[in-house]
Amino acid sequence: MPERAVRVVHEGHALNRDYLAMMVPLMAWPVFLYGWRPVALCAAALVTARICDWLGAKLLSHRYDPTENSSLLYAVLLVMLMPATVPYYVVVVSTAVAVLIAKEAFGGYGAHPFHPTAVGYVAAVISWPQYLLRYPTPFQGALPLWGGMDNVLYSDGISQVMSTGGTPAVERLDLLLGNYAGAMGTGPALIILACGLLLLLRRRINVVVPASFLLAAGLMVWCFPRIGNASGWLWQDVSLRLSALQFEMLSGGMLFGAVFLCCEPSTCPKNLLAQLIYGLLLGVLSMMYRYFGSYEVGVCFALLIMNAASSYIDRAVIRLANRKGVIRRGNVG
Amino acid sequence: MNIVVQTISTFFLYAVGAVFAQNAVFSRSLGVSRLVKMVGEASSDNLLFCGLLCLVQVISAPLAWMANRWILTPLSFRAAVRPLVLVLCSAAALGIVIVVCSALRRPSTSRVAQLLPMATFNCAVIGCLLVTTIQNFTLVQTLGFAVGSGAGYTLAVLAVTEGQRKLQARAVPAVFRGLPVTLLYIGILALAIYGFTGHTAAF
Amino acid sequence: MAMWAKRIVHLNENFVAISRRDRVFLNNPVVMNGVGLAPLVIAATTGLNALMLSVAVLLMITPTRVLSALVCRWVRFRALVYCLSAAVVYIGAYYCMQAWFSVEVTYLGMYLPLLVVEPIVIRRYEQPAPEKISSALKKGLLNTAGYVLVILLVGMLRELLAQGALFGQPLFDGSILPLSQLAAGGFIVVGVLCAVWRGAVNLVKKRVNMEAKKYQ
Repeated sequence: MPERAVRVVHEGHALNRDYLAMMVPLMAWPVFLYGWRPVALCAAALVTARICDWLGAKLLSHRYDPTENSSLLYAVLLVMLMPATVPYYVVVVSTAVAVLIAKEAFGGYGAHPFHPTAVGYVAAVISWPQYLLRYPTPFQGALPLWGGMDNVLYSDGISQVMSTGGTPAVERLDLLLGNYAGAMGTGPALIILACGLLLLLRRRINVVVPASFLLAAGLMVWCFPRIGNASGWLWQDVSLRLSALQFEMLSGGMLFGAVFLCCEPSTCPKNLLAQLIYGLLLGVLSMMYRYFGSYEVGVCFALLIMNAASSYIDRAVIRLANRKGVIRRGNVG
Repeated sequence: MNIVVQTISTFFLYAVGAVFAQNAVFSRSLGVSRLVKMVGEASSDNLLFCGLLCLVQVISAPLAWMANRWILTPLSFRAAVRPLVLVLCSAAALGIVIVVCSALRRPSTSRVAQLLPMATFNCAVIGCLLVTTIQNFTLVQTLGFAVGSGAGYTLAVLAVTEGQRKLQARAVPAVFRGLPVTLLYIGILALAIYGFTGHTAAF
Repeated sequence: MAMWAKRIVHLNENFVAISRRDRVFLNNPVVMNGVGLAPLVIAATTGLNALMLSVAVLLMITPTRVLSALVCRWVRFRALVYCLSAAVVYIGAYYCMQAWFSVEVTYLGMYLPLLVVEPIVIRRYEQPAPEKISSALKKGLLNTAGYVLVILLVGMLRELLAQGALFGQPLFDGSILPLSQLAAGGFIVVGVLCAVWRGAVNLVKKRVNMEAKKYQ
């Protein structure tokens, strides 16, 4: 009997497939708010990612593996971080930068030191702040699939309002559901949390990095809230601090970054203590970028810096543990 | 008392600014050629080189300030002779370091003497002196900037050396191995640093 | 035909030595040795800046190298000699630049005086053997040619990507990658250009090898 050829699937295929599956329910919300344009943008990004993968394989003389789908994931995550009014060419160029420069040039799957989505997003937001930092007001009817955005109404993002000292006029329920002007995929907090829980149960993400990330960011917001004048001790002005906490943590890609970006296997540390330190520093840096830089999705910038340090943290922790282990072994033996 | 506090805060402000917002490597691309060569060779002299660079930077900065105040500013053709004067200032700093090192008679003096010319006559040192003299910094600002500039360069060396583990992996494509991938690495880190400042460093 | 075959075989056998002497394409100082990166990454953001830097480099590299080769016969401290010669040559170069690009030369900022200590100008001091004047002249001119080629390419590419223009003349509306005019974009553009250039050199090498095998 002739043997069936076994199709060898790339090692990361299942993980990325799970992540991509999470994008489907997440996409439902921007479609509800803005029409079919988010889907069209996603499609453009997916096609670009596939073409860039093929191009990279062709130019850099390695075999093109169609089951290697991490580029597709990076492209979709990148689109989710952008507002729905972003032009198609911005999506295409930033996806190309993310896949070709941040991933293929460094050696492809598993070898890239930086998270390609973070690189693509940072490149896009620095190049085109006029498209990426302006958010369309939700529920104004479906956005046009093609053509200019001249008749679209825009609102200020939550971080922009808070940086000028104001309090955003968004109800808590709207914050949780994502009914406010923001990026496509970072708004629906409940959906993101549900996706995170599912990924956790399937052991696709660990709990240490996202938890420590959110903890550190939350502490930063508690100690230095941007709403009102919280000048007292840390246990005073509690309502002000809680209000600032809900706005900062539920907007601006904090939850999205915690669930989908932090635990990328090539860039995350492997050791438990290293993951804790990584998450804490990531949280602190993200909030610093939100406070002092003018970029709402600070987690991408912080990711770049922490990715550079992640293997150092791993090695330092292992070296420390070995040194302590030697002393302990000496005492026991 | 107020003046002391103000002086110290100006010093720290300029030092921290020179380390992060106006980093010699990531914002101004000074000394990148030397950096790429150093991290490619992965020798243990990197820290010694950075230490010497910081030393020469800190010694030449006040010399440059004095030269700017008393020699360059009165001249109408100062822009033409500025590099000459600054090279002489760093040469003087080099001389001071050599004298101190040979007086100390450490066994590493020969290695120091080998590295010193490269640590003195490079873009990072002269670039920092150019910034402080063209923008007419005061003495405190100059000293703070010089300390920060040296520290920033050392930080850049450490960051890129750390990244070499991934950059020298076999997975990196052949055409990107070595210089191109290191430049991409520095570029991406520069993107992250740009996010903090939001504007390019003045040159 | 026999002449061509002989030359190809000779080129293939001595590819390394021949390519080392070719400082324009096969062994470009920027792409292969990584020198001269500071002006490339920060200052060469437009075609005009690149042109000004090319003129400056033209005025500086060869005279510095020849002057230093002359002086180094008598003075031993090579690093200082090279830097001081560059600084002296710079005085003349500065006035030429002022005469030809009076206003625009301010766009280069400190990267014009920085050429005095740029490795592309003074790196020869690291080799202890003194240089012959003729060799200094030849190598200076070759290095200048290689560097000018890269700097013009980078400047024009970055202006095209960021502004859709060339030397100030708009070519198309909009911009492909505005990032290219920043320092970070400069690193990325130069890095990718080096990779593409090295790929081209490898292709040439492979082609020469293939052709030579046909005649062997």
